Amino acid sequence: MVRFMIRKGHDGPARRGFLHFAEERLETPALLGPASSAYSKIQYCTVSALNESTSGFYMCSTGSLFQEGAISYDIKRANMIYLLPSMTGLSAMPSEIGINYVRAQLPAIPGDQSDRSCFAIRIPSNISDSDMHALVELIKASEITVVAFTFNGENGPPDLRNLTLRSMLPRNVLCIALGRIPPSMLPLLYYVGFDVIDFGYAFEAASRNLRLWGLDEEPVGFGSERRYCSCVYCMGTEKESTDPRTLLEKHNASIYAQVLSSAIHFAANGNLRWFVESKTHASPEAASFLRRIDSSLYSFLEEFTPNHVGTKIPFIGTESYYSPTVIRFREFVARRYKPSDDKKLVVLFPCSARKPYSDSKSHRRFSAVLDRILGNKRDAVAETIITSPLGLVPRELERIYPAGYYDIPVTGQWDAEETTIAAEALVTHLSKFDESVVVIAHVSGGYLDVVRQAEVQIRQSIIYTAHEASPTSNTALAALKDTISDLLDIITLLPKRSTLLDTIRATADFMFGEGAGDCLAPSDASVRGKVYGSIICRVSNAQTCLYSGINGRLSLTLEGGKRLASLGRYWVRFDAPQIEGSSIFAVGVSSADTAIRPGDEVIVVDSNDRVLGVGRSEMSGQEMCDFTNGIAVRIRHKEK
Amino acid sequence: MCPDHIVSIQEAIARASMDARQDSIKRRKSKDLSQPAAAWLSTTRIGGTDGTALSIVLATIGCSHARGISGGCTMCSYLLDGSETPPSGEQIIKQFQNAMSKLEKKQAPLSVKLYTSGSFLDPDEVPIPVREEILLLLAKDERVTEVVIESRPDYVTSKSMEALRRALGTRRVEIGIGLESSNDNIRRLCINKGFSKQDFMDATRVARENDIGVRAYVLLKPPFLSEKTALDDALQTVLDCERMGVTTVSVNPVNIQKHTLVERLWHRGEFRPPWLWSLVELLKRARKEIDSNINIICDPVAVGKSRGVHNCGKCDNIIADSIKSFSLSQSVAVLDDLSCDCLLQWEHVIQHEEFSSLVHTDRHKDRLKSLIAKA
Ligand code: SF4
Ligand SMILES: [Zn+2]
Ligand SMILES: [Zn+2]
Repeated sequence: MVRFMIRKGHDGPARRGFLHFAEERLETPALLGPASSAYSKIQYCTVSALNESTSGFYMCSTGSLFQEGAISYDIKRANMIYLLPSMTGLSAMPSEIGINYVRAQLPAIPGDQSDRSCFAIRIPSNISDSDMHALVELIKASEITVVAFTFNGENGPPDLRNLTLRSMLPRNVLCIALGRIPPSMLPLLYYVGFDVIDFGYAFEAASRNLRLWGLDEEPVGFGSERRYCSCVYCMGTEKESTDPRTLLEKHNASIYAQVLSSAIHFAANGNLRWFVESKTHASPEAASFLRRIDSSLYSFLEEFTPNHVGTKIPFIGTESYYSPTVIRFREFVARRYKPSDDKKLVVLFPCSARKPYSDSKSHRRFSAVLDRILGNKRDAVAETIITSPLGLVPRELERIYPAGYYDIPVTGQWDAEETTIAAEALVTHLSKFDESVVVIAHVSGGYLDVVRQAEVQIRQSIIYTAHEASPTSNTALAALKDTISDLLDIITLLPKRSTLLDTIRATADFMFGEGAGDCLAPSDASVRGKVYGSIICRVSNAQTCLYSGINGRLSLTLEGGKRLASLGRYWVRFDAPQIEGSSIFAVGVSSADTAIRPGDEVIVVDSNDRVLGVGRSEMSGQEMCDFTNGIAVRIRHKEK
Repeated sequence: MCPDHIVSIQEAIARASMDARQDSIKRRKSKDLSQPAAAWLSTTRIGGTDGTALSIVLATIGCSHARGISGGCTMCSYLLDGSETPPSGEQIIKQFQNAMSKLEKKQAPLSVKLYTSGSFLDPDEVPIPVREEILLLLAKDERVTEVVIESRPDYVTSKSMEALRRALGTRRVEIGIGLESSNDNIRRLCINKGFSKQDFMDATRVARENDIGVRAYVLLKPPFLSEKTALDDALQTVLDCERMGVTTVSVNPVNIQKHTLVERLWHRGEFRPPWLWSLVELLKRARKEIDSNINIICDPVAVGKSRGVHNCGKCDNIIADSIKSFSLSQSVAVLDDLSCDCLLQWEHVIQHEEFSSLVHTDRHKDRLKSLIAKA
């Protein structure tokens, strides 16, 4: 019996896990290659070439679907996965052949063999959605634990289709990527949830005199000067071999090992997406491939993308405009952010390199102006920061992930795409304010272009205060000051001190959706603390939540969980009268809100919707339902 | 294998094959129906001496299998050589006579190979009286000592065989049948051949009973198979040919013909014609393993081209020449010392293609070319 266990931690669908065999376990992600290579964590072999004295992990191909006569399986063999019979050329054929091919593989499993877990089925790329749904049911009903896809490495429609099909699989199936996979594609495959990756291309490339690198390949042996490489094979310091072809193979294989270990490292730090984006520069096809993945697999990628990572997140290239973290942030701001009614003035500011913006020099200057001129009425102003690729960030949300954590190359130059993205965000944002609200655009350059592009769709009047000079210049700051003091003659701002409450309410709405702010921090709530420190929120003397200025997030108390439960969101149903210990496991979860992402604050309820506790999720809501192992929620507070 | 799924796959492949052919049949050019589709001379070995062979491809209505609803074979577009309007009996005889005129000044021994774009013995292609007339004309020519015809096994009956033998007297007669593979699954699904191994064996028996030899066409690399499986299957087929009483084995590596399913797959990067290395390997091993009385011949189409059996481009010509001389001499020695850098690529394909289920196309070759051009 072979079992696949996924360890905790998420960065996109990428995961680390163990494939458990009877006695040993294989750590994933792992490279799959020929037995001759030390870099093969799993080695491929054929039934006919099985030899007795094997050690390590094996994947055995069982020949063609059309082969006559029974294939001999030795299913008692340790550490062996059998790859069911192959049929090539399917991507160009109708779906019905694909699905029938998959079904035809299953009878290749010896009839008396009830344990199907050591057989890997091959899923061709030509399967339709409806056929795939049927297949998923079949996989769930059988003990199939391992599935394999074949990539041609061209980043074309068949490769994309493979990823779509992969996204439809149950979450706890081990996925193998076979085929021609260049090193630059490896991080992407890991990112979208492949656990075992075939690096046979290292050897094909070597046979064609190609030396592989992280991004490209170099023809060697044609008289051109060789690029420098410090690996033992290229330096000639390796003892075992002097044959140039073998050394080239070893160099190529080592590149895969290097790239995979980097991918694992970045995933652990929450920066795998950045690593994947950086590899798209391998070719225009690779770049457009990621774009297509982002648009067609958004919900899959997003499901596994944590809402909070806590490390810097770089948004470097255009690929990041549509990364799940970015799209989700834009969507949450658009759908969940609701300004409080007493905002009579909106001031638009440019973003700053330093996060949170408030800590930057430029924003300190803006703040000083607002403080000086508005004094205790300052909270009647809705400060909004325009930025790329997030679109815009309301001041109340400037500390939350990714707003408080992203890094972009700051040039002041915007491309048409990011301008449009921000302009659309601005239109949506301003539509939430009353028509009588006045908008002050204290922006220049690309930020100004954003406002100008949005202008026709904005109902409020807009005053530009920095269109002639940089927003931090004395001229612009004076214009801002004068404009506001002029406005104070026309509109009445009520004095109020509501920064803390506004921040809590906006954060609650952002994290839990509409209405959450009203539940956790109604207008009569008592709030105490500092935005950059922490804020404690109490309702009728009971604490509902705690805001942390370090990550801009709320953590719930049991009371907060009970108040929030009425919204019917972010719940995890646990089949027990009471929570024992400090976490609940996926196996005990009977159902969960599918909106839950790893790292979310969640409310644990029993079968009668009674709140048992609150805590932080370790996996997505869907995974909690699918998985039979692993921690689902780490409990923070529970009913005693 | 579970028959249900296999039947569905087979039907779908047959439909796809039909689909690829589509209306190419209707778009066949109208031709001068008194001329054969092709006719050419070559030197050949006839019963131990050098002689002249005339190959004639009669333009008929075309292969019944490809014409009908069965979809035709996945790699074959011979049908396109046929004619949309069926030629009359007189026209077919005229075609034959026009072709035979090429032999006017030739000395004995002569070998005449009578092909159609289908089966010479199919009465829909060549009506029986016409067939009899042609055989009569051949029988009159004393120089002709060998006659080869082609037919699907469906038409190889004791009646047709007896008639053939009677008409041609003591001449050496061989009938070419496209067995392609001795694996029923491969023949039925990958090739959509439409007859079984048993059909072939029955035809062979009937032919041999009438002292008519059987030339089995063996296909190297039908679609949907890896290079390795294809090689293994072709070799197995040759071995089985010996057991089934075949007199000559003709090895045919798949080439990409117009308006076929194989062409479609090839366009999409889902098929690559076999490597010459596979062919060499096949010929060497086959020659060593089967009875030396059975000739193994191979005259590949489009060799070295991207549509034909090919290697890297550097070694193709030398290997093609070696295969040609092997066909004449039957000596494996001519195939022994071949080598080229690309052998390693082929070895990788043999190892990795089956495992990964990925068709290892040459697309990378083009990329490599552009890389080198840049360097
Ligand atoms: S290969 Fe022969 S049987 Fe098949 S379609 Fe062509 S001519 Fe007909
Ligand atoms: Zn190196
Ligand atoms: Zn070569």
